Order: sequence, then structure tokens, then C-alpha cells
Amino acid sequence: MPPSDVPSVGTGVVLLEARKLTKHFGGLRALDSVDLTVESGQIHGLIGPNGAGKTTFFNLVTGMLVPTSGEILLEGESIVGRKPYQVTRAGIARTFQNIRLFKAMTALENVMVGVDAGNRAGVLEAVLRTRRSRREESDAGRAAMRLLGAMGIAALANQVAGNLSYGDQRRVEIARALGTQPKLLLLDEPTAGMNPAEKAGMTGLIRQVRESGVTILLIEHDMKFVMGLCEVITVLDFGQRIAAGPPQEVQRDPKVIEAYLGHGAVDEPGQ
Amino acid sequence: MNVTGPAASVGAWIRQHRGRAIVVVVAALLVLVLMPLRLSSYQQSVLVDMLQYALLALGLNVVVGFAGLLDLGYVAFYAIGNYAFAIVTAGTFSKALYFGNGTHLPPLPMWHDWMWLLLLVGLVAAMVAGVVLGAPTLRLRGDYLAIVTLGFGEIVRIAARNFDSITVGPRGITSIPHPELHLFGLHYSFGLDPRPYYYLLLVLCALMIGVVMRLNRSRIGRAWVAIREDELAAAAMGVPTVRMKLWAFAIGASTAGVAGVVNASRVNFVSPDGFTLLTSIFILSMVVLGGMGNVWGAIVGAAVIVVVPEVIRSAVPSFQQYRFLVFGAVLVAVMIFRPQGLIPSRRRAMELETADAPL
Repeated sequence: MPPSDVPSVGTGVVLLEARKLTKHFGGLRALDSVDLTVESGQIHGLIGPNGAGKTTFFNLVTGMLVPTSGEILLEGESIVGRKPYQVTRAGIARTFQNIRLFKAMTALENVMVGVDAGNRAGVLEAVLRTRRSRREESDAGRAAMRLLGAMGIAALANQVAGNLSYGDQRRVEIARALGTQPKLLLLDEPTAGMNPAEKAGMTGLIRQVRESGVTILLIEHDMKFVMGLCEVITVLDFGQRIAAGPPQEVQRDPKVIEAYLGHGAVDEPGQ
Repeated sequence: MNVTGPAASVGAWIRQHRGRAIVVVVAALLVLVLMPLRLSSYQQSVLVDMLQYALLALGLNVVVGFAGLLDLGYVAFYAIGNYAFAIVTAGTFSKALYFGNGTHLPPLPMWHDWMWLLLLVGLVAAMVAGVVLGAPTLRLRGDYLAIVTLGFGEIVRIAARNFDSITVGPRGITSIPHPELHLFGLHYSFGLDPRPYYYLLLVLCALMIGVVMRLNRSRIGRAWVAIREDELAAAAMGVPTVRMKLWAFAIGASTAGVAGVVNASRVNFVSPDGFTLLTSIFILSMVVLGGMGNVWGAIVGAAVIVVVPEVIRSAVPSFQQYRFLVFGAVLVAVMIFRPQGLIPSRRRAMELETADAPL
């Protein structure tokens, strides 16, 4: 099936394309020949029961795992085999399912680590405090401050990240990822553990990130959240793509209903 | 802008009380510069030892404290610095070129005019060794890296023991000349007096403190802390983790190389017995005791571990026998009551706090 069969709400420009992406862990087929296309400007949802391969997909795209076979193209260029930091610099940033902030650093420093991805002053320049290193340093501070402001947590900039509330940590993590100036932002369960009010806030935040020109691919379990936010949804089950399309269509898809209701009572191992 | 935490409060204090800050700095400098003049030769040499270990601890602090890489073979780089200076100046190098035909060639006069350049030779030799060891091994994590570096430390010592033609084996290299300075018409021979070494090491420590503090406040320092806290997340944020770890390793190694050059020129004798695992552990204890990731902690750690035993020894002569017993007990006590070290870094203390939470 060519990936172009997915109706688009984006700009029509393909940003990320996975072709027959496959990952085996020993005998386990975590991902099996998955096609997925994210168009520039979309908010794209990746859903599926536990163990469907969603996080594996993220790990493959960000270079943390190497695919068994298949292709990953960012703006038409293969990024398979690149190291995670190279993928990030190429324009894909991510957050983690279980928040992975640098806990002992302040919120601001966390975001600055992300911003640093675009900086070039090396060890020698840092020691000599060259003009470039000083400029980059103050620019990084300002950029990080601006991102924290956009996330609505500028007041927490100098708080140690580990002491922040759960919801605020999620915001810092998104700000940190945005600091790398990504074209594509991967969000792994951005509303996990949030109450309805916080989830509503996150919906607004993600829309706002998209308005700023960043394309979004997100994993989420909360169906109401996904259906209300995403323009295109891809459904995985047992490592295979079982459906893709706009929310209304996917919701009615018998295979999707079966995957969710049929397996709902069964205890499945996590990834 | 945007320096945070204690650094910010110190910075703010300095801005508010510029006059007082200058007085404090000048007073501290005066004390440091004048101190040796009031002390006996023995006390002076203890101070020199302390500064030399402080320099070593500053270097190891970058590796262990900032980047979080447990290096148990740090002494190897110190050994390389020592041998670099010894081999080049004491003529064993030229002897080796003649395949040990017995004639001890006089040291090349060139080295005497340019001896201070040998600091660079030691620095580069140790740095190269650091990169050569680090490049393949820094992909390892935690315990594995510790074991590999432990092995490297032993390899360097055993190689020095057996590479007779260059290192003169277990007998060690003797008759290493003291440094001489010939700069812009200024001539100065270092000799046996500890004081010139004291000032040299003071300058080197000050330089290293400056380097480390600037790195710590730059994107390099942030990258190191990020790697230490969560390597995977750091990589996901665009930090080239292997390259940054390699830098930490190279900076630590080159510092040890410089300290080695100073040591060889001061004691005029280098033998493999000076570079055992125990020395690595000593330097590591200084970093841990003082407070990992804190520049001043490394210096306080060195001061405590070098000076305190000497003070007790002169008060209680029989102490020498129990030195390691007491040393071990003190370390255990510190780790129980103050695991973050005497002068903890804010981040390290924070990490210990959050480590209590389930992962």
C-alpha cells in the first residue's frame, strides 16, 4: 500500500516518511512493515493498544534503535543509521513517555541544553570566552526563556526541574525539545497522568506549537484527546498498521474497534 | 546573563559589593603568595604536595564530577606526564636511540633553554593517551568503564616497569634536571627549594580553576551534566555524547600530564612504583571527599587528604602505621554523614536528593 492513500489535512508537503519500517527483537516483531507519512503542518496521532509498537516507532525515527529493515526519510533524505544527536540536529525532537528531564538542572538550563544543539562554540572557545561563545550563551538564555514563556512557565525558570509538578515538567520537556528548533516534534503520551483541566491546557499548547510552524506526531491513549486534536491518525496493533486516516473514519473502522475492544480485557506485556 | 543557583548569588554579591570583593580577592592572593615565606622547608614541601594533588584532583573532577565517568586509572596520565619529562630531559631517550650502548649522552642543551615547553609535551602526551584510551571505551557505561580504566592504569605502570630501554624499568629514571627558565633575558633555576614549585603550581591551579569554571558555565558544562544525569535524553537533545565524554577525558588527562611534568622536575626521579592504583584512589577520594562536581571541593579534598595526615604525623609519630586505617574510617564517616562531600555542588546534592525517589 503506498503511503499516499492517507487523506491529508496538512500542507501536502511530506515531512517524514516511514517505508516498510520493521524492527524485530529476537523473535518478537515489534514493528512489521509499517508505512507512515507525516505531512508538514499536521498534528498526527499514533495510537494503538499497549505493545503495539508506538514507542518503538519513535525510537527508530529518533535513531535510538536501528531498524531491522525499511526506510525513514526526513524531507526525502534517509536518516537511517544516524546517531540520535544527528537526527535531532536534522530536525526531529522528542519527549519521553516517562519524563526524562535533567532533574538537578533548573528548568532554564534544561531548555538551554536543547537550544545548545544549534550552537557551535567548542571547548576552546568556551575556555577563551570568545565573542561567539558569549553571544551564543546569552542568546541561548534568551531563547530558552522565550520558550518557557511560550509554555506559560517563565516564572519557574530558575526552579530545579526535579522539584516541579508533573504537568510543569511535561511543559519543560516540550520547551527543551522545541529548543533544538525541530521541524518535527514527537510527543510520547504528553497527557499521561494529567487531570482533565491539564489535558485541555495541553491541547491548546500543542495547537500553539503547531501554529509556530512545528509539525507534530504524538502517541496518546486518551481517545477523546486524540480525536479532538489530531487531523490524521495512524493505528498500530501488534506492530502492524491497521488503519490510517482522519479521526471520524478511524473511529468507525471495524479493525480498530476490534483491536481495542477485542484485546481490552487481555493483559498484554508492555514494550 | 542567566547564571543560576549559588553561582548567581556569588555573582550578585560581587556586583553589589565590588569594593569588598576586591579586598577579599587581594587578601587571599597575598596570603597564598606570602604563606610559604613563613613556613619551614618541610612545611613548604607539604604545601607543594598539596597543590600538586589539588591540580590532579581538579583534572579528575572534570572526568568524574562533571561528566560522571568513573576513571580508576587516572594515575596513568600522571605517569605519562612524569615519564614524558623524564625521558626527554634525562637522556634515556637519546640512549634508547643508541640502543643502550652504555654511554649516557648529556641532555640536549636545547631542552634547558626551552624547558617550560615540556609542560606542553606532557600535556599533549597525556591528552593523546586519554583520547586513545577514551575513543574505544567511552561507549561503555558505569562499571565497565571503571574496569577498563583500572586496567589501563595498571598497563601503563607495568609497561614502564618492563620497557627497560626507554623507562629504565623498575630502577626508575634518575638525574632528571630541575627546570630552568630563560625568558626574555630572565634566567632562573628552580633547584631544590620548594618555593618556586609552589608558585608554579599556584599559577597552574589558578589557570585550571579558570578553565573549569568557564567550561562549567558554558554549553560544554551543561552537556556534561546532561550526560551524567541521563545520557539517552542528552543524546536526544542533540548532545554528541561520545565526543563530549572524550573531551572530559582529554581535559582530565592533560591536567594530570602537566602535574606529572612538574612532579618529575621537582623530585628528579621517576619510577613505576609511584603510579600504583592506590594513587588513583587517593586522587579519587579527594574529589569525592571535597564534593564531586565542585572546583573548590576538589581543592579542599586535596588539602584535607594531604595536609591532615602530615599534621597528625608530626603530633603523633606512631600515626604513620595507622594512616590508612584512619583514612578509611574518615572516608566511611564522610560518606555516611555527608555523601555529597564537604563542599557539594548544588547539582550533585540535588541528584542525591532525587535519587531517593523510585526510578
